[in-house]
Amino acid sequence: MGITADDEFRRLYADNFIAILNYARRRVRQSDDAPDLVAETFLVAWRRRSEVPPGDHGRLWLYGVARLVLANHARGEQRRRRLGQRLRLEHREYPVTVDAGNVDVRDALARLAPNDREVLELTVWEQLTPTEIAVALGLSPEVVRTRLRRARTRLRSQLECHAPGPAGQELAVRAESELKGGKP
Amino acid sequence: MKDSEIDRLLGEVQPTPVPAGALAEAGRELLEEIMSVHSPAEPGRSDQAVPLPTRTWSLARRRLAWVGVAAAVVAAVVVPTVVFGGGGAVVPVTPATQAPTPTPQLPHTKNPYVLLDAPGWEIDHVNESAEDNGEISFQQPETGQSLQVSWTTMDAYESRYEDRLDVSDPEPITLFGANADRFDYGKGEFEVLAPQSDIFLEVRGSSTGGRKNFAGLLEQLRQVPAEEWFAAMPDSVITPDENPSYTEEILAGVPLPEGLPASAFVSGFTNSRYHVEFGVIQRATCAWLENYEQAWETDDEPAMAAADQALAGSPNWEAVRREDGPDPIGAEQYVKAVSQRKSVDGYRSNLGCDDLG
Repeated sequence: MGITADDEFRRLYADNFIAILNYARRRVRQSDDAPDLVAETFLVAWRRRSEVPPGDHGRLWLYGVARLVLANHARGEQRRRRLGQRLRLEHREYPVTVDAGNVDVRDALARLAPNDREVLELTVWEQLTPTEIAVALGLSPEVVRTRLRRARTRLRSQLECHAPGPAGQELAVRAESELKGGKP
Repeated sequence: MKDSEIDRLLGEVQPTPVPAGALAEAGRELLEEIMSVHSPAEPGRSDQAVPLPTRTWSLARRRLAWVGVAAAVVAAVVVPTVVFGGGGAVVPVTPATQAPTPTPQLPHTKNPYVLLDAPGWEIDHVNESAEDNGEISFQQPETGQSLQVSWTTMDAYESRYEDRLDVSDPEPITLFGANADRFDYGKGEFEVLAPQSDIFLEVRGSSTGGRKNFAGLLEQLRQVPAEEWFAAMPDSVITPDENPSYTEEILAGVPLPEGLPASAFVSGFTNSRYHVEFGVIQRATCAWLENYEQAWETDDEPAMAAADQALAGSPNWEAVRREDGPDPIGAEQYVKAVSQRKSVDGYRSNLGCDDLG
């Protein structure tokens, strides 16, 4: 079962355009690559619309496609389609910026195993539940929960071990406060 | 540091999003371009370099998952540990190389009993979710490398293989003396599909370095006798003979609906501790919600009250309360609905109750 009518595809696109664009912005190295990833993702969806699951699973399916487009992109094999030229240009009005602080957190995140990092990012950044992530990644919810748990555990461990930096200092202060019986 | 604090920190480092409603015109233009590119609704894949997320692993087959608790691996080192006694008792034995003469009663599964001999690697988790489906994962804690070996029935092989053709061209290799295909995801991620008689193996390496390194790891994978495999399992993994007593331990203090025996929670598979706990809590919660749903439909207040009382106490169940216990199964909204005598519609699919069999 899939979406076959043009109107259904338009709805899928309208409902998820910003979500997929933001997904891309959070993961591409160059801001200009985000519109390309969006275009490629929806092009795949258009061509395979008969396979897009109905309802909310369509959104999760799109995340699944987007991550695979991203993987191909990372391998340098993304075809450079000249779609979305206007989007590419206007997107530059929204530069991707990252908080300069919290270097420790970003470093710790980067050190996680890719599979673990992926579920953590989908949880926090895309606000997906383990069940939804499971659909998007084609895994069981239990596997997702396990990766999520492991990712948080390792991140916690890394942040607590690498105290220097704003996040570490913040944690150190909190830990000290807790030790003294103060409120965290 | 609580999970919520970790999530908050992560939320602070995410790149800035585009606000809702932005780029609407440009987005619409892109939509028209896309819809004009390819008119047929035919799901052709010949021009696609992107595999679709169609590798939907049966939830039922994988309902018990695993954990990330490190443990000493294997290698040719064999440690005295347990095998399966006829009565399910834990029986200390000598190393497998000096296996006892009585044949232990082994579980009936398609587990290929794979171990990794590579120095510094550990068993990260084991998950047998069904007789013919499971996974064992190894990790190298210092480098963050991981290697997963999963197995499932051959009926899923063809679609999996086709899916992987979109990842890369297959490269024929040999694994365990048989033909297999390797696919390259890039960035040090590889996957091997290796058909065996009635199952096939998927061996997935993450951050394993180049092909040579990955090939080196594959060479250190071994299929071993079942006894040796069980002997290599770390404490973090619950083997079938340990499952009844461990399940009993988890159920201590957990009220069960009338007619639901503790034996219904016992699994004959091998799984990491965390997911045995998760599975038991999930099953108990599902059972109470099922009782409540039936009572709600017939307006049976005493039965609803019993379910309410049991579920309201679930945060105090030992395995739930413990700091290193499993993650919440996500039943909070239903527990609240029960306390308000509202419908719990949707709980079965959302909590995975349908997958419990």
